[in-house]
Amino acid sequence: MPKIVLTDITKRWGDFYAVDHLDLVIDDCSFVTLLGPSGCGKTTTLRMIAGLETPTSGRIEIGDTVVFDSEKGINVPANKRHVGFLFQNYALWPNMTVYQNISFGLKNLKKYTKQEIDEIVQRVARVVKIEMFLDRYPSELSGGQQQRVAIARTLAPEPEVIFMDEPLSNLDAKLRLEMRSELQRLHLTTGRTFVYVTHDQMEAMTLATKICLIENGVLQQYDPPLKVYGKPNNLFVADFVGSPSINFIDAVGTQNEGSMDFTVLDDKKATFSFAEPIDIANWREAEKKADAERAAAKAELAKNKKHVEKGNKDTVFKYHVAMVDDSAKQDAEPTENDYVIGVRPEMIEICDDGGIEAEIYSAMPTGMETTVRLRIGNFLLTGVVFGGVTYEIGSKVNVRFKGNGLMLFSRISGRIIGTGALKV
Amino acid sequence: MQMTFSPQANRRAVIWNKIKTFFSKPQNTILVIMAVICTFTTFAPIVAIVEDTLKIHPGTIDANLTGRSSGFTIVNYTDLFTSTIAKQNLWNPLLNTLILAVGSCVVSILYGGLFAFLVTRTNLRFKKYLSAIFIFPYIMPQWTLATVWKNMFDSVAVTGNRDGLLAGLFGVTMPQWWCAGMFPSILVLGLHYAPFAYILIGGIFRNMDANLEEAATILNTPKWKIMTHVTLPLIRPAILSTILLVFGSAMGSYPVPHFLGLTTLSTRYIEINDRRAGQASILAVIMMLLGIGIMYFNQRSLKSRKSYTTVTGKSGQTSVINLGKVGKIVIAIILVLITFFTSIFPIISFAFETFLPNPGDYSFLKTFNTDNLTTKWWTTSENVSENGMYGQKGMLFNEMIWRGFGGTMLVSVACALAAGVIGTLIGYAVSKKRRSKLAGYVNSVAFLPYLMPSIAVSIAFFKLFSSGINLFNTYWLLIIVGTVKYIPFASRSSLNSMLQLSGEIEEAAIIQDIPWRKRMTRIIVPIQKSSIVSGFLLPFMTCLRELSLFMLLCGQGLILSTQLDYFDEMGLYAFSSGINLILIVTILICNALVNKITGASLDKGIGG
Repeated sequence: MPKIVLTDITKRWGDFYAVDHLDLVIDDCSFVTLLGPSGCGKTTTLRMIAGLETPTSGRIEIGDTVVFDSEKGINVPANKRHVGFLFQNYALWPNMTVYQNISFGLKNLKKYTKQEIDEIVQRVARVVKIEMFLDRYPSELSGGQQQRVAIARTLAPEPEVIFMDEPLSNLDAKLRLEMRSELQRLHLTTGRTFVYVTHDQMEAMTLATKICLIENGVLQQYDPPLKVYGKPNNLFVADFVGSPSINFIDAVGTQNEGSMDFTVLDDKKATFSFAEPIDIANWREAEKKADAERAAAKAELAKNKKHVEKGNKDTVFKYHVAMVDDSAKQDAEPTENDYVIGVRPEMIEICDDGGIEAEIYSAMPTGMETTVRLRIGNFLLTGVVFGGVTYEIGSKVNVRFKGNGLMLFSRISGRIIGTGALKV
Repeated sequence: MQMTFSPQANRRAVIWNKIKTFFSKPQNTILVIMAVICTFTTFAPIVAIVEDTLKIHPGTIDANLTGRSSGFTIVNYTDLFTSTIAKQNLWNPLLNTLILAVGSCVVSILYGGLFAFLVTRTNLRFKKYLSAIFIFPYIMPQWTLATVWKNMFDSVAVTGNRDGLLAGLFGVTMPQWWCAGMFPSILVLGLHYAPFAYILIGGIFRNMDANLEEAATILNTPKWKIMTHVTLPLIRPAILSTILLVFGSAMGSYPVPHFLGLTTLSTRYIEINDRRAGQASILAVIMMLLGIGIMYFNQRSLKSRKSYTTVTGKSGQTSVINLGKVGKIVIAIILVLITFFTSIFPIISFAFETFLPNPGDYSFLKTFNTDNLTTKWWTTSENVSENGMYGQKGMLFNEMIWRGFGGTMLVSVACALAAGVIGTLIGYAVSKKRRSKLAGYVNSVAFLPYLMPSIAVSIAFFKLFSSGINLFNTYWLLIIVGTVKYIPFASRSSLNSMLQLSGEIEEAAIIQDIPWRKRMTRIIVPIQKSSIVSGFLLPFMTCLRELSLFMLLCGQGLILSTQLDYFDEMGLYAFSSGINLILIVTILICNALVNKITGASLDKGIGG
């Protein structure tokens, strides 16, 4: 059964690395989304697996076959990889009717009789509910219907793996939501492996069994959605996933018997207690060792004559701390005692016995929940209150941080240290 | 690292694998084959002609000067550039050629550009009619307007051969500079190529986002300033490509200067070719160098052109300039009159000439007595020497003419098919591998013949195929040369359309393992039908009326256009007019037919 393995895949144009030494294992029957901001290399990765793009180096296996290996010069062309591909703009053949679009690939397989082809077309058309449009031309269909035709065409030859390149991005918001749930059902009923490219983190969160988050060609995290949300590897992941975005709070302090003593939000004293005990000194030691190993590996690579310096350099993610007045902000070089605490909006609780005084800066009720921006000194935090609550702008409230899921990042490397609770 | 055992065999396997992968993509195979073919068809003739300039030709001037009858020498160069007749053989023709080319560019851009502006940006009347009729001069053979000019203005008193319409009818004689030489040549070539300017510049005017001009209007910019600072810079790329196309074509034109008695490099070549073959080849090399220079100029301007390509895209409302109630009709009528003389009148004139009893005998127009007309040029069915027939049968019964017609059709159809197929494949492969060096090479090498003057290409192939394989005076040679020369038409129009086709359309088929042949015939060709058809149509039309390219490669009887030359020299003006008429009518019918059947038309993709 097809399990897709990417080993050390690199794709570059000149010194621009679209994909930078990517290792990835996509399990059978999983629904993996490749997520990232535009231009991060996710579509390139997908096209390389499908065989539409040739990697610069590395190795790709689909099932038991090696479909690409730069060292052995193997490159199985796309048409022999037996995969399905759903294109962003559907790529329906405008000169053929819906029926012809779906059946064209089947006729070519030569293993079906005319009647069998007809049955297959009818069946997949029923699955995506387009059986009444079979005689129409693509230009006579709406966007959503064209989308369904494209899905039907992809499903008809029964590929083991189906690749989708932002298939919903051309649809309107309502239809997108509907198609999203249909894709989920489709994954369940067909039992195929789905690999799905999107820049929409909501789509990735809701659909995927595993999210593969890529930035600047580098894999950032490859985990189930909730883990990506709850325990992001670094500041970038934490910031990219989640809507409204996560709050970042700068913290300065040292470890004191397991928990951390911090100064946060200008002058407030706070204690961060880890959910699982972590010794900062040990952690830092381990990080240094890992960094050294990485640097050594890189130096090894650089010795290779063919190695090209990456033009699009990797940098530590510049997180954003929301403030009322941004002008006073200064960027000092971070030290070992500088940390960043990540607080998801739902971890901020407005209650009378909260230890922090805040002012309502803005409030946006949607009926189901209310997104509030809270002003604490010069800082702004975003919180979510469920239910139809209204607040008067400018009124004073007390807040606190609830739960054990606040994230602590090192400011130097941007990596996560652990999760825990913060008490002010 | 992993190839510890037998690294040798392993490396071979890797290379073999890579080659296999490379050729498993049809576009790569096409590119490699086309690179080989185009390299040969483009460079072999050039090498042949350069070699010819250094060779000693027995019985010509170089043999005389060196005293040898074979071997190599540079005496041709020294003699051509420094001898006492250098001025006559080289510098004057060169100067004339350059003036002619520049003048034609100016005329065609001014006339075609102004016309494009009026049709696309003003509320001119009769736009549809004018737009259709305007491209006629390009469809018709190049010399059409030249012969019309002669039919109009020649007079026994000034030019000495016969009386033209104006002299014969009204007794008006025009001065020599008006009747022949530089002025009419520039005007005729300019008018002939004005459709280029119209199509290219009009295309930009049509797609130009009016917001660009409106933005300037809102900032309270004066109208003339908008014109010079916004509009003209935007159409600059179109003007540049017009210059490129017209300059190259005008430079190598033979019939127009020949008919109008102007000495250019191409006419000079024909004149000195017998006695000074080697020096004539140098003239051809000079023309080629000019062509390559123009290509270089184009490529430089192409680079800076990038910033302009944002102009196309969604066109909003195009603002229409009001010419005023009177203006829109008066200007339209003026244009209708001009286009009548450039487009309709030639046809009438040719038809009329074939019914004149003697060349220049316009007594019918004075008397309106049908006795003053004759059908003998058409219907005489036996060999007679009286009545000025020189032993020729009438055109309807003249086997030579019909054989020539058959030959022209054969060559045109064959060239169109070959150039169309090759050009379409090149366009396809290049669009697939846009970034690769090989694709860039194939694209420019295939385009090069287009920029080399017809007469120079023709000379080059003549040299190549007159020694060794002798194909002189065969249809094969004409077909080969025509194909090479016309591939750019097809490859440009196919490349332009293929670039608009999203790659995913084909990838969707690749993924489903649909073989290449089926992808082409069932998906790509049907979608791009109309521009691919114009890729076939353009070579066909151009080939029908080609003279410069073919005249050196065959005897005068092989195809119609060379026969026309033959009859003209013989003094059978009725026959040359009749052949003109046959050609024009054939082209118009073909254009209309193809347009009706496929929706493609000539004005799509001209000059690409």
